[in-house]
Amino acid sequence: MEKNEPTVRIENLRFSYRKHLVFENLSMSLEAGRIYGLLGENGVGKTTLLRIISGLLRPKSGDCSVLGIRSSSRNPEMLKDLYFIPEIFIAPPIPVRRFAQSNSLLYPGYDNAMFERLCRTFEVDASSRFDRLSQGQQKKALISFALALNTRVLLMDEPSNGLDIPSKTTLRRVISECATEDRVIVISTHQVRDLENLIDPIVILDREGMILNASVEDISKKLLFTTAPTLSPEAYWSESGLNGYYQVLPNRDEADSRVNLEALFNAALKNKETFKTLFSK
Amino acid sequence: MTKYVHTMNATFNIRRQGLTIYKELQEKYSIILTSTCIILMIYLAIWALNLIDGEPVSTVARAVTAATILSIIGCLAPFFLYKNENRRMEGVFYAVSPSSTLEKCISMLVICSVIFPLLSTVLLMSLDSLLTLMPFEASYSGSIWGCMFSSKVYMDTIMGFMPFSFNTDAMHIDLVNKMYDTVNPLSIPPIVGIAMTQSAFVLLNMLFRRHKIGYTLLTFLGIWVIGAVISVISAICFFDSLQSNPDIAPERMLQWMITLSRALSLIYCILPIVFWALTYFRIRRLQY
Repeated sequence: MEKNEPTVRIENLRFSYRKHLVFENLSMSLEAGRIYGLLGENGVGKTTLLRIISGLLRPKSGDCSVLGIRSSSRNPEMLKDLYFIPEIFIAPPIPVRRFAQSNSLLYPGYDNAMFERLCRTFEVDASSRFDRLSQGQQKKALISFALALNTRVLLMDEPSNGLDIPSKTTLRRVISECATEDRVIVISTHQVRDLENLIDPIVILDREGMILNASVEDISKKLLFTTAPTLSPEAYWSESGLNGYYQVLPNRDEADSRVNLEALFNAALKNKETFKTLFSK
Repeated sequence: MTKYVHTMNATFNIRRQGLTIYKELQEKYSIILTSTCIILMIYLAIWALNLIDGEPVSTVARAVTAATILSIIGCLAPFFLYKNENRRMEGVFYAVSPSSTLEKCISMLVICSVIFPLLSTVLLMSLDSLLTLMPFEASYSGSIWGCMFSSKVYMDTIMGFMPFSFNTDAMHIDLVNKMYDTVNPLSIPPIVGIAMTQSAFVLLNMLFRRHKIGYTLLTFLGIWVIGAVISVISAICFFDSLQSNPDIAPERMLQWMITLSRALSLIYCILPIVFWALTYFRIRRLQY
């Protein structure tokens, strides 16, 4: 991998399930040291994109490379530095600790002490049989294992699904602790509130491809998230409340505001072409 | 466009190969042991039935029984050892595991066709040897170890049953000996046969994502029907040629049989290589 090359590079990607086109000419790059939030409506291809990056699916055309290696080749040199946590998985009928022991053999960065520590943090009993744990416990066990692998690319599909409220808080804390300068974490979610303040940059997908791939700083420079007593005609999106209208407006004066992911998501879906132009600059 | 370099290390690395086999053994050893226990239980049940029956059982009959059990379980082994590896949801961990397709394929070969048949055969033979020591009247006697690792005893038995073997004139004895000398080296020991036959089941196990055993049986049924049709047509052609040329020399007949045996042996040796190659490409092309 060349210096300054993004960890994940996608160029003119085209993918379809038989006649159902998912991506057409999708291009993006994911850089190390970031926690990407992959947002999109149901069925836009968030999971498909993660599966293409991890080499589980092969693009029809175009290119997807991870650490400079084509992902569809499932090259072990790439796979040893990548891990994918699926949203739904079938836990094997072996104890969690043995799963971690056997599955970590081929990952040079695996830290067993970290795995044990994360299991304790998530209150998962590593000696229990994986398939006999509850769905939430299984997910926490897998997240603990995935983070302890210390791979440079970590792909998480809806990691907060099935977790209780305290576990979601722990998840945010643990992920932010494990984020390092050379690591790229991609989290696909439609539960934006669960991971607010954690994900940055934000990638929003729609059925025609990508609407935006921008950092929170960039978004707050270009958009203003504010509540006003009257509805602005310029508002990209608004919602009425007790205090007036919560709106997403163009940020002409570069005023400071806190990015609200849910509002951003709704505004982006409502103004796809405008947002594409706005964030392509 | 990005340029990619594919190194040899990405295809095969001996350390990674060892770790892949070790990893898979760690995950599958309980299945291997359970399957072996089932084999032993079946054999014990047959032994108990023989005891009740009270008739002595010949060494060849025991060897055939053992080989049949081992073959059936050996052929089913891929279905329970690698049941989930090609499934969309269950196979994700296998697919993202950092080994190359070749290493995954070799690991499957080692576990399915070497470790499992060898372990179950050795344990079954040991059980049989233990049973010969039992002080019952109709108990087993003699060792069948050789029968699993050599095909000689089967060949001798088959040749003994052949109709022409009862003909005692010198020319026929010479023909039988010639045929035996040609066919015997081509025959393979049962344990190797199990591993070779298994390759077809490994391929079909990786080919079908659901209802694996059912689809496999249907596939074999289809092949059997096609084979039966071809055999019937060949037999009709053969007898037609016999009728048109009734003075066909026995030496020529023998030559035909030898050629046929050689051709079948060659196919039997090539097919497992083809099946394993196809399994490799199947794993490589699998999408999840």
